[in-house]
Amino acid sequence: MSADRVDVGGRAGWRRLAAAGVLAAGMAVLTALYVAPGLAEVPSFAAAPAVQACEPTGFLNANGEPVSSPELVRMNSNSYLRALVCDPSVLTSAAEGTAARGVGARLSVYLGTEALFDEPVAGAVELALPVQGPRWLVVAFTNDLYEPPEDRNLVLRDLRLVPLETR
Amino acid sequence: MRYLAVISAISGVLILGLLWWGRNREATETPALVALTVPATVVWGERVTVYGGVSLPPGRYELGTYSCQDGRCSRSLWLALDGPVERWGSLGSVSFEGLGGPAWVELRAYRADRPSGTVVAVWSRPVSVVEPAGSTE
Repeated sequence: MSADRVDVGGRAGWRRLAAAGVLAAGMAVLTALYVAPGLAEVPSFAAAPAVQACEPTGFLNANGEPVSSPELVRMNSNSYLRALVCDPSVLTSAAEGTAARGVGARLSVYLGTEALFDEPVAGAVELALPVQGPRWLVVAFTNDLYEPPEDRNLVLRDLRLVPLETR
Repeated sequence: MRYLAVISAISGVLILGLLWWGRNREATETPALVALTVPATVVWGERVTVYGGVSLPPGRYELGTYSCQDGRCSRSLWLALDGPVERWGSLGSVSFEGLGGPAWVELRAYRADRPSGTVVAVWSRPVSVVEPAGSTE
């Protein structure tokens, strides 16, 4: 008789253990869903996706349209141009900037997230920057200010991407 | 009953394993930076626009650009986007009001289609804040 009682008590114990297991699994699932993601280390942005079958785009404006006259690009407010670089090339341009509050027009040239040139320009600057693809090149005017009579503006003359083998 | 307990425990472990596998699998599809013009030096008081391209995997995302100094951050962009998409354009602006302590710029991507709004990617760059030319401060 006592053996039966022990057996019955054992079954009840296993039932409780099973129920506890199910509860623990449920708790673990909820924890994984709601708590763990917040504790995990936040990853950095991934590197730019690889460019498949790279085709140079030439310079595109902010609307994604080709720049009609790279011989003279007037930037009278903040704006940017971009170009997909495929082959080793040199970016060339004569930049002219005006200053306001003692700071020139900031010309920012980036290949991906790498700065090639990022300085205020007050006066004239000749650019000859080697670039290597396949990556996106961004040329931007980023600190426009108009405080009459001062006006920060940027002009880019003869903006070109010259492939290295043709120089 | 002993088997039931064992099966429950194994099921729990399997579910957890599947969840973690799912998380890691999803984590391989993080937003990517195609280009970004965040300056290394900013004159204090000057506002500098950030341009760039961001590639987002499937899902609904929000992007935030922050100027941070002395442990405080101010946001200049809150942009909601549905992936997959490659978005080009202004990604906000950065400015710093004084020379102060360490300064940096952060770009954060949040998953907007999750209740907790989890941050899924962060990019940051330290910034030197300098005085304007001719400043006597």
